[in-house]
Amino acid sequence: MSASIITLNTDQILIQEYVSGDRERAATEFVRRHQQFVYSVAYRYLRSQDDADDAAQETFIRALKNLHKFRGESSLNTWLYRITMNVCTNIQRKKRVRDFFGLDDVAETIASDEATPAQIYEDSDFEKRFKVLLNELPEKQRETFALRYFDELSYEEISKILGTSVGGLKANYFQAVKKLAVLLKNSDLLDGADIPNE
Amino acid sequence: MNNAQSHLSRAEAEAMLPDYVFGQLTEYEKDVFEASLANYPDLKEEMTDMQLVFKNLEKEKYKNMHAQRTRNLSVSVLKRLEQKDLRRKKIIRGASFGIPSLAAAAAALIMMFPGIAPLKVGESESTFGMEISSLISSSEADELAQSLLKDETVFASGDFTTASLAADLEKLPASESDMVISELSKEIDASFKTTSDLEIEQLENEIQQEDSEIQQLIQVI
Repeated sequence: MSASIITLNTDQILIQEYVSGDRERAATEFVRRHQQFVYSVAYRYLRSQDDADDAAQETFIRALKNLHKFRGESSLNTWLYRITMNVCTNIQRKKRVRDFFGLDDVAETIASDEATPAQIYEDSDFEKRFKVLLNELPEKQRETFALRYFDELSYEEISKILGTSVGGLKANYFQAVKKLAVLLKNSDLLDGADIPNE
Repeated sequence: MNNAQSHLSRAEAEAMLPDYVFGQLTEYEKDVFEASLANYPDLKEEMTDMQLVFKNLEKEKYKNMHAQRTRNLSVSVLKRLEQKDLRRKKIIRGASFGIPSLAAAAAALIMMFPGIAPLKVGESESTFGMEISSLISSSEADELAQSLLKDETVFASGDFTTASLAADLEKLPASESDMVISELSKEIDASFKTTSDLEIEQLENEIQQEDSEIQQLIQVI
């Protein structure tokens, strides 16, 4: 908890600097500090590196444009998560329209529960297989796991993002870790590791 | 730490298990969890499995892949922000120059060619002319517009419309109708003359009168 307070304080200093100081330096630092979180959220939603990259850029542009309005009433992660999700939804909607009217030369696949062969090809071997395993989890469990395990957000932050009680989140997290442990154990992802198969 | 606090329910122990496995509990929470685990042997077994599996899952490897993909993100964002700023400045500059220029051009066009504004149904040209005249302010362009409006008012007054004039002339003998036409032509010419034209004509007459008086004086001398 104390770590998130420190982060918030330094973020507030960063916001101050962006609003009334060296904008470029503050913007660079702001993006660097949050880029992995924003990118990974976008990537989980859109499942395409190019789309996730576009979404991350757009998210930061919107965030920087409205940074002076951020009052620190919620955490910056919660705020960024909402912007990212809005941007991703817009990107997905545009893609649906483009696909419907056949505007793209090569129809790009909209995010689905299954990773496409093209997407698998562009990802690294480890990532693609891990992604397949993650996709086996129900959506809420997957998002809870990702936000807690990879993005290291507090339960309070995840609770605000997903609109679930902290107690419910902890139960979801336990179920996600339990299922993933079984899936990993039965997969060849951890080949070479000393794990007895079921 | 008392006994009541140290004994976690099954649900509580499950909720704490992942954080215990990933080392995210405080020392106090860790002690409470470990003390309670003895009550749930199946949970202890699950925990051992999780520890083994996730120990081999290189979390950092997954995170590093994202780090590689986002390494130029700040540069791209700053570049796009710069482009947006430039575009916005261009629009503001364009608007600050363009809107007043367009407004001035539109006003000048209306004043020079009042007829370009559409007439409403049932509206006579003269009332249209009155509306336009009420919009005109006192400037040099006003004079031009006013003179144009006067012409319009003369045409629309109905004193000598083509139809009534033709009907009246048919009733007269040819010599009289010629005279009437000539008189009417003079009236029409006089109607078309603007105030300034009449003033000039008056001045010219005065000059001519003065000239003739001078000539008479010269003859007397």
